Amino acid sequence: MIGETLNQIRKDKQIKTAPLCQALDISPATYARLVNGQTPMKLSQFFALLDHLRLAPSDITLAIPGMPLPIEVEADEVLELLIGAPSLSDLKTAETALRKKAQQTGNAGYTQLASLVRVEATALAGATAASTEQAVLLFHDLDQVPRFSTFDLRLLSELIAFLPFGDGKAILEKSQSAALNAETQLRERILNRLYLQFMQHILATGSVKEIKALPPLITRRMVMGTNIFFVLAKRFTTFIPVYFRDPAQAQGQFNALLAASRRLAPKAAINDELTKLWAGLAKR
Amino acid sequence: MNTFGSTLENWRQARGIPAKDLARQIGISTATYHRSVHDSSSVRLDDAVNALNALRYSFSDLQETLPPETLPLQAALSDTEHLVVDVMQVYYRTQKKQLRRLQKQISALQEQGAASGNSGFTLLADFLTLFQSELAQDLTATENAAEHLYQKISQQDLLTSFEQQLLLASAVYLPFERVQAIFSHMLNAPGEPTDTGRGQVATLYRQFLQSAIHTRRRAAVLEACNQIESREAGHADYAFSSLKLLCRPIRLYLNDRRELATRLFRELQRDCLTITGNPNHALNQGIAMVWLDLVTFDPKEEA
Repeated sequence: MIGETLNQIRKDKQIKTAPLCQALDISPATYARLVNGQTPMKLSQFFALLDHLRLAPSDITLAIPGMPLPIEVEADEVLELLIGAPSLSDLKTAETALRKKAQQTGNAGYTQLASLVRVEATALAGATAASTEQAVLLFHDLDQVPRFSTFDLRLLSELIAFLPFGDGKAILEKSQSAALNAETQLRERILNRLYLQFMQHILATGSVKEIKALPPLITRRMVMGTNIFFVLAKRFTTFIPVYFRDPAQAQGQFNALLAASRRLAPKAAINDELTKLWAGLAKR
Repeated sequence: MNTFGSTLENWRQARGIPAKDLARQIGISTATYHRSVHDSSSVRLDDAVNALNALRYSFSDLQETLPPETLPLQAALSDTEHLVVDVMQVYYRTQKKQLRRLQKQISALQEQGAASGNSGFTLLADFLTLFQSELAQDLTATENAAEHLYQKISQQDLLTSFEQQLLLASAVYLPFERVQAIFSHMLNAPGEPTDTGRGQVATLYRQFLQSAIHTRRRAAVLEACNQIESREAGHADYAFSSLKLLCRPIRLYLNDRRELATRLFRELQRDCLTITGNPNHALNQGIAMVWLDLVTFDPKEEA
């Protein structure tokens, strides 16, 4: 399947097979067997093909059907379920199915997804202390790696809303990139959600000291200019110190920001998120 | 230096998965796994996909760890981008030196293209030739180079992020009709646009509008405004929304209601500044560039 798609892209780009075969160090007959799936493709040949077709690895999930990995697809489905206000029985069914998959495949990712569902279910049942305890355990399990994968970040973007301030802060610090343009767009989108969930969580449940510690944590993250979502989140944090000095002034600044954002992008999800953030802050 | 095998091994150890278990999940023997760690040249794509899945890493994650020789064209693209930024920063002080640096990179890319048979290197060299002409202030040569690049790239169905970047960087030197063609091609191409493509749609529209203004033809500008206004903006696409909102003051300006037009433009500018808090942000710069062009070129011709 992948071979056929890549060959189709080659034809579209009018790239001849000869230089490609030369780069891959194979004969035209072997190339034909590779692209129709008769001969398994090597990873090195795959990368050489991508480069010759001017495709970046971050392009391929969109250009080649079936390239998102099963565990990534599963993570997206679980997150969608959690975002959609599920019932306790929905969560129980999902957890059982994920634990079964973990057993069948031996892939610990399914166990982690099941644990995330359990955290949500415990919180939904009203056992806040127990859900925090489970969340911390799952966080330590995910925190083994020196740099979080996009899969880890997907889970953390949900889990962060159940963690104590110190753990959330550690996640943000670990997920920050040294270089401004080091993020793939996928990673950037997941991080946007992670930061927002953390801000909402701390504004709703954190101490005043923790809320006051938010702005430097948020503004430290560098993003490309096109990420307006995060630019707005950063702008919001500038109101926090103002709020503790002069709530009316902060309210005026927030109203102006929200009005401008609504004029430019009335349907943007960030408008509702900003409103929620403000509601959290205004309760203080 | 990292290879796929050593990256995999680092990830496996960090995850605390025994090699035996990982090998079983991939569907290979433990001995084959260990061989692959030391020499990943013959790893099969299917096995690599299974390994990434088992370790919960994606191709996107992998891209960040691969050595430059794995994807030489992507590495050359990144080098070229850095060079262009660097040259732009110091150009006015040492013009000749910067032009020599560009020439050196052009020759290196052409050689790399000839040696590897990868036409992407030649496209990158063509792009730098365009940039070189631009810096040398040779407008005719710049326009010819842009046309040359357009002819080479635009005839395909799937434009990768690499090709889109080159086309967009040269679009401002193409005639309006060409930009219009790129524009309709990128938006109507079959399949999903790449991530980069989605992010660049607003830039493409802005260049399209500027290109229309450069014709000095009122009808061309109105046509561009029509197309922009008829497109549904993405929910959080502020760059595109700001362009869409800019069309109203542009129309008023073209109808000689300049005072009202300028007032509406200023209001939009204020909103953008409230959102970004930074006058140098791309959102603010984008609408300012269009307005500056409008006032400078003042499109009036009817035909």
